[in-house]
Amino acid sequence: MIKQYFKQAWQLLKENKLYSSIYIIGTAMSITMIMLVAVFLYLKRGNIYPEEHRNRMLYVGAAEIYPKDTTKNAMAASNLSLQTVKQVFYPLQSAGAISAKMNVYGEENMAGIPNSTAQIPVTPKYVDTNYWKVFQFRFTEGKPFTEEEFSSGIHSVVIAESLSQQLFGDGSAVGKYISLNEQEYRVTGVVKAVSVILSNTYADIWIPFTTLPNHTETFAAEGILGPYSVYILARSSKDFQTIRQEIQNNINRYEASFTWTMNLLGQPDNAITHAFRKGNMPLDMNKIKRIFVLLLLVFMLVPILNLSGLNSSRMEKRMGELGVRKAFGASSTTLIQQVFVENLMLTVLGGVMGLTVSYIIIVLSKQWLVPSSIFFSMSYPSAQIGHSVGITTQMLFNMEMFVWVFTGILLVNVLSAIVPAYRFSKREIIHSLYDNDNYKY
Amino acid sequence: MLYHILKQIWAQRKRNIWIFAELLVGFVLVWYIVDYAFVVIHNLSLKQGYNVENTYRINHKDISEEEKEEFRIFYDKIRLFPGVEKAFLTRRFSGTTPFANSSSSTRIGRDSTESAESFAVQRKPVTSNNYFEIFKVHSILHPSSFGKLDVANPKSIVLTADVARALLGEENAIGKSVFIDGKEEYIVSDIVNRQKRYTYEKHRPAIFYNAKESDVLEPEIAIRVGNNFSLEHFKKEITSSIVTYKEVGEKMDIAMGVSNDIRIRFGLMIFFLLNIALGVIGTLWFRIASRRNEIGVRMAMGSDRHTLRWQLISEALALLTLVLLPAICINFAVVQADLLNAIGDYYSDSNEYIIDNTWLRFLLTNLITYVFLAVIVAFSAWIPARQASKVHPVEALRDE
Repeated sequence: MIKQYFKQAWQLLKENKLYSSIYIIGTAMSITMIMLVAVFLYLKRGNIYPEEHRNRMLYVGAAEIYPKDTTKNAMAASNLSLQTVKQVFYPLQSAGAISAKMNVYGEENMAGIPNSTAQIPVTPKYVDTNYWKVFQFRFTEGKPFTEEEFSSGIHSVVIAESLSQQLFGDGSAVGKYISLNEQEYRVTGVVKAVSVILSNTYADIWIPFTTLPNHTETFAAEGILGPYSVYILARSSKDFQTIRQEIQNNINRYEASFTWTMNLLGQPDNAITHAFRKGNMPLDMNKIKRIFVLLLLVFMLVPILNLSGLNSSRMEKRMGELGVRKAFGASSTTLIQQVFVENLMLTVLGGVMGLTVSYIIIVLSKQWLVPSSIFFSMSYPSAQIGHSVGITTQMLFNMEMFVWVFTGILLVNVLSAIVPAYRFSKREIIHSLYDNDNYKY
Repeated sequence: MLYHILKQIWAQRKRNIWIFAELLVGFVLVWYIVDYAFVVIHNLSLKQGYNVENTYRINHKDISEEEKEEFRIFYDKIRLFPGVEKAFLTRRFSGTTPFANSSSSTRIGRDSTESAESFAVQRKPVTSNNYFEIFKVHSILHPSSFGKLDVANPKSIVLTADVARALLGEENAIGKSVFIDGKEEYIVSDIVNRQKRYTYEKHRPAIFYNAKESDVLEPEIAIRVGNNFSLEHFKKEITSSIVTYKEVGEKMDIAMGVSNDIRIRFGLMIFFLLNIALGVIGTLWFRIASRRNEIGVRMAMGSDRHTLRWQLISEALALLTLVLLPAICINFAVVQADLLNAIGDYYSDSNEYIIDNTWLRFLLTNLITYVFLAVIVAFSAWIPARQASKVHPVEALRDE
């Protein structure tokens, strides 16, 4: 029976080329739209090299502090200080690994071979040794800087394969020296380059933050605030609640003797919340979700109305045919099934087209997807982004994405085809049979 | 004719309901983007107030008191480099140079009393008049020359034209005293063109006052260069930390998310328009297919192809016009709910630009949307209409 539907549908498709092409293009556009949103969300929360366990990650980027004495009106907000990281986060027992990254803003970073005038703009990241445990970097040669090198602030760094190639060609980089802002560093390892769209891991060069003289600097009262962000890798996402509780316990202990109290603004965040958090502002994730769903619905409304209009015009033309079939005993369910299969065929064709278009758009739009925080830390964004890894095939071809597309296809199909089909199938047979254009006017 | 068209639309109301709904939703969405584009284009059309062509920014790492001498030598090398016409030294975070990431503001008034009327302005400390010459900030009073601070007088101040007008009206401002923060007295030495901070913004009032070069510990150097300047050589011989101010501006636009915002809206607009076009083409196609007899009769009765085509296009346009009223009601609700958020739309306590006049802007953007959609709808209707009018009357009559 289903095979019969497909045959019939194929025939119809060939017969009515204009309708088919309009329908397919219309569907393709909606699918492109859904796909773009899906890819956008996937890039924000999917497990992508080297952030391969984002589903187990928690993020703390900032805190807000105010006096315990509520009669005093004061507030400060920023990233965390090293002291806070050491007191509250490093001791966490319930987490698998905890890393801290020092945020350094507003520097222009030029790297090269020591004493050479050829310098290239680079993006550095100032990290600790656990960074290599929290994120799954693949070392093409060498290894991370050691705990000893880190704690004594030795100038040992890890560089990206792309930088290694620019500076040393195909030769080995490990053990060689590079200069960054007129300081020399020894390369201990080389890692596979990271996509520029990953703001937490993208860099050309990873440096122990202990090499910076100001790494213990704190802002505002009690030394709570400073320049650090914290990354926590849980053993399982089931542990999130325990970790949250432990963080709160540590905070309570930490601030017991302080006259100020700290508030993590709802953090630690999971990957998706982290992606939407801007600086040190509170964040209402439910509101963002609502807006997202609403926007998606409004955007989809136009193509769905469009396809429904087409469908309903076409159904009207086919009233006679459906009426005859009904008169010979076809049930409403059978008719709806048939319409469903017909439309499914067109929708799948449109889906394939939309998928292709969306891939093309995404691959061409590397720069769009770069988080603005990375732009701020680059001195020459266009050149630096041009050189960097953008979207990889791994990001685009995965199960999650196809589930999204399929859901999208079904959604478009059901909303635009079934509703008119259902309405027509409910009409009286005689009405359908009689419904002839010649009698209409 | 009009009556006839409306009658047709009514007779086909069941089929028209979808296209009507699509046009309605489409109108509102397109209008929302048109409003955004209106503001962006309006702001882009405003003069920047300075000129960054042939200017470069050179950043230098922070210096300590001991390193000042060394930095002096570095700065002199830049000033004497072939092709460098003018150089200017400022603190990196002062917000003085174009497209600066950070800024600081203060209030300015005519009185030292706190109750006096005052205006928020951006403060731009200037270490020498080279600033005005490098960025070609023209004086209002002598349009051929550049702004000038009285370097000898530490209390000298230059205002942008908007500040001058807000404070002093049509009076001649030169030599008048103004108060910063209600206490410090300054003497106006010049008035310059108003300035935008970023390309997509409206003008922001600003003041310029004397600062000392020797106080600068976070140096940013701005230079204007001539034709004989070689960037290659400069990078080799002095420093590779050099970018054009144009690049700085582009980077800020991207970093602030403006460029992406514009692209996304542009993409959405195309998406909506294509959908509307497809909807109109598809719906009219079916309608025409089912009205072939009628078309045949019309042609047989002497209706020429031209009239016929117009009949169909007018029907589509009439439908769009019917959408106009409910669409405007929805748009009105959007404005009332304060949902409009065009970029650079803030600082609208002024009323001098069209975009600050909510209702004029509302009227204009709706009008633009209508005309815009009318073109799209007419074009989309024209495709099936042309097809239909090509049919031979005999064929059309014998359609069944």
